[in-house]
Amino acid sequence: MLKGRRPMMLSLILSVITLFAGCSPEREADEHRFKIGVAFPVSGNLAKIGQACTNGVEIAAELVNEQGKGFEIELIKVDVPDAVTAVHQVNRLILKEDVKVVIGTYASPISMAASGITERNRVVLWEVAATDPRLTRRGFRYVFRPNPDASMYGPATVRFLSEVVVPKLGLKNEDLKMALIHEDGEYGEAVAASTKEAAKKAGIPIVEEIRYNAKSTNDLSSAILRLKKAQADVINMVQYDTDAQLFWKQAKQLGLNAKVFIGNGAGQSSDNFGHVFGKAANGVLDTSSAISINPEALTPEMRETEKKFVQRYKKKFGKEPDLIARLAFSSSYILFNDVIPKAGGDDPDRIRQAALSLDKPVGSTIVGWGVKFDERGQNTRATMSVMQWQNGKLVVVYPQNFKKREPIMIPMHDSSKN
Amino acid sequence: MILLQLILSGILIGGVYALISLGLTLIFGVMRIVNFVHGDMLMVAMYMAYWMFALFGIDNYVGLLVIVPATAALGALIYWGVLQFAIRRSHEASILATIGISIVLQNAALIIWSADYRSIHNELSTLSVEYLGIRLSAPLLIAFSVALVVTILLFAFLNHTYLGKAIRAASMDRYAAVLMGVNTRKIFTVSFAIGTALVGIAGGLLASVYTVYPTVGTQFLLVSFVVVVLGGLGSLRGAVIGGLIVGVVETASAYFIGSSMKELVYLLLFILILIIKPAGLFGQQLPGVNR
Amino acid sequence: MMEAKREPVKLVPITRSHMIGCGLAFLAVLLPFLLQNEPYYLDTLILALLWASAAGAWNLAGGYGGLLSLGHAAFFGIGAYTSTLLFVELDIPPLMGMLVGAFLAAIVGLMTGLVTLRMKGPFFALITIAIAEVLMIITVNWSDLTNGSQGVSIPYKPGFENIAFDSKVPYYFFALMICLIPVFIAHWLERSRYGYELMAVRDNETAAQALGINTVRVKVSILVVSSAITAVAGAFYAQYITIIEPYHEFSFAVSIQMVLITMIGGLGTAWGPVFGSLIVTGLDTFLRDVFMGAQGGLQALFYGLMLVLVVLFVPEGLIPRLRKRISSGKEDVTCG
Repeated sequence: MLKGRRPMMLSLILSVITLFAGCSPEREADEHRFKIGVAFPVSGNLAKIGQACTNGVEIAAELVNEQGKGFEIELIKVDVPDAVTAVHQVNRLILKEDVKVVIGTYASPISMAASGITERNRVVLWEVAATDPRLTRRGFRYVFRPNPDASMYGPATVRFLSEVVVPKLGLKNEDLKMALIHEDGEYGEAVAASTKEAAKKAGIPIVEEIRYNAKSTNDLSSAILRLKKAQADVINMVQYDTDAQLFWKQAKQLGLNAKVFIGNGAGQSSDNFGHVFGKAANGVLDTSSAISINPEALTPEMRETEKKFVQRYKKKFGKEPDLIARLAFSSSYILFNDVIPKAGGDDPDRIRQAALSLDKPVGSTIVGWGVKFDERGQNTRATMSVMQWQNGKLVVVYPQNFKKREPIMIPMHDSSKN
Repeated sequence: MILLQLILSGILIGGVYALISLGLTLIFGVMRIVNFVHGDMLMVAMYMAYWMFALFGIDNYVGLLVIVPATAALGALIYWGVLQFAIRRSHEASILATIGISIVLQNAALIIWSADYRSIHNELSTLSVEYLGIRLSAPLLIAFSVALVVTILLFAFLNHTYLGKAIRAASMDRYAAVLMGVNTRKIFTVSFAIGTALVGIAGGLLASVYTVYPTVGTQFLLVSFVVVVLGGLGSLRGAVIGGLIVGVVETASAYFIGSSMKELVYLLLFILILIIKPAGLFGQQLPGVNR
Repeated sequence: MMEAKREPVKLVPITRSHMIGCGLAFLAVLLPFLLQNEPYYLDTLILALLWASAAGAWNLAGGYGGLLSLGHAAFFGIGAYTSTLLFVELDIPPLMGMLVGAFLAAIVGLMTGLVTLRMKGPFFALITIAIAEVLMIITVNWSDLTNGSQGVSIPYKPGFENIAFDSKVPYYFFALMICLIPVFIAHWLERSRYGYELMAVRDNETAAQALGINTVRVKVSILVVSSAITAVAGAFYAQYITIIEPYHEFSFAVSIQMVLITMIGGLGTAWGPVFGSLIVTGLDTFLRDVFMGAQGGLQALFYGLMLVLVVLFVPEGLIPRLRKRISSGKEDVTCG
């Protein structure tokens, strides 16, 4: 019996030691040095996006630190590929690293899990990209989201269709048939739901809705055949990178035509879309936060900031910042440049006060948003725009004051001539 | 007309599944390994094709000349270095070992090549062939034709060469094969290498159809298991026919029921086969495995 | 593969090992209070115990029963969703919902067991994967019931019956309780006739049948028990993490986690899953610390390597290996 117990004890001691071996010395607190947690998924399926977000936040911190505002931002980065890890790592940031503000998280379940922890610990969660509407509807005091939530996409698309497309085609809303094709994850579902609702209000009929699973779809030909059958005038897509590319390839192969193809961020906003398709991407529209608006619509300060941002990003990461990196930059820049100085530090209650007191006009961020948080922490001036692929680049074509170019190819020509 | 287009599209994607599953079924037939690394070998092959295109401008079809031997070598290495020891322990050990290697490969790819999505875009990739109103994707047609050719060649190899017959012998009865003078260790290594090379071919061809990223293999893994079980573990004919059936069923159910549910249809089919006839359409009744 | 010579326990006087055991138990109870100033470590412990519960449940069917299921996430997800949906829709406290979830999972386990009776090795593994995947797809698409891919958020309503607390300490004790359930069952298995029958079936089904053991009853029943406890772990997970969504709860990764933990600690031993989980969770936390903010994927790479190394070199797990090392040659392996 004795011999049996000893190894067990040894194993127990061994495992407990391993458990607590995750020990790094705590950094000293400093009056003017603020530790800000950065939590994005940089491994797993969302790695590319998480990395882009982290990059954007890094540049924002750099630029603000250089302005010599009397304080320094120190970023503590953690990888949060899923909800469980998010709980653990955010706990770590709060309990071990003593951060009072966490920037993150991009994906819905991660943001929901993270916010549960931050709110209970009276820590600010500064969300830069997740679109789940529930995040700002739980009555939390310390969650702030500068970017639009999913419910804003639908109205933006429909406004564009009503104001720009319908007149150009010489039709009425009731004649414009719309079909939706979206991935069945939380992003696709939420955006599609808001689009359907907005379309209904505007009297635009929805003739088809296709849902598919982005991770396991190797072939969209059935979906495309159904869309062909529906003969919609507008095809609205909510897709991630790989499925957006598969869809567009197969759409061309199978001869899917529509007068307007409009995406919603993600797949159609990705730089890959342009790289892969080149000319074949021309004409595709995309509702999202703007990638780069007409400089006239930006405040002079922002024009400078945008230039510096792009320059610095290219230098540090060797490539142009894509849309998601710009979003992350814009959101975190608001925090570093406006909120923290106003709050005089990183105390969550003062951050809340400072954030709520911000009132900046549209055009105060490089992606075009203004800043005005409502009581729930949602930025009500997160203006959406519509962009279009032209000559291999994504340019803003709506709204009026943001646009850099006029929209082209409405209607798109029949691709059966290829 | 729509029905015909659906069936043909289904056959095309089915050809892709068949090509990917050939290697899987060979490996299982010979070594009884449920190979979870299979999808990731596809990924590695796709990356190879991509880099040859991006760095040297080599077309992915031409690149096959390099990809095939390279993936075969990688397969042999994995078998020789890890799997041969795992098999000796138990079935469970080999399954878990392949899962572990799969995780390692995916994350190594993430670290080395980053999570960026890579695509090969040559003139062929958006091209389609049109006939009587039916449109078929050109790169998929090519993949399908190659799948057919490869199957025929493989069949010839297994039935008319010494090595091929030795492989079949080892798969039918390992111990008897040893008694007949077959070096099973070597045979297993060769079989694993061939199985991997087969999926390497698939990867090379599909690099111009699908976007490449570290976890792209997972998209095809479960489907190929379904194909292999449906067709019968170890049966090449089964892999081809199983692939075509799954392709058509998937495409048809996506059209009539909904794309979100199409996976459900073939999974239920999978479960049904496992319960009713685990040997699949053409598989052997393997003592101790499914008898 | 697995040595299984176990002697029946005889009545013995209190020995040193008993005292050590009591000491450890005392420590386990005291630990959360000692760690009150380091709540992060407590969080790590809670997660470790959570996974230990799920792995322990898996171990009953996988380790003691020889049923290598790679789809136990199915039961985990059933537990998480049942308890959460009952809570969110019908205000039924999770303490109760957990049991309902366990019951539902047990039914699914029963059906699975009955349907897979003749399946061996790889086929059994494959069908379990398919079952978990099917449940995932159903959950995603039946959004009226489950809110689909957006998942369900668990509202914070503190209370014992809601398994929601302000401090981490009660969570720790809850997790501890749950993780001890499979341990006690495993202990019992090692001493009872049913357990002997089970392990006989695991080691050689034909021989067991020849001895008159009802292999059907034995295999199906352990699967039922295993699935029920896994569901309980899933329900606790939901309460602790406060968000559940189908792509994670029914995922292959969750299933593999249970298997890996058990393999490292010791397949078919009572304490194996607990130690395995402490080590894996500890190592995971440690690696994330070390690689903090650096290249994503490094930690997962090590995880995969660990799996391969364990399978190759220590397939029976650390506990049996250490036991063999220390008890020089004698094969009287008593309770773990």
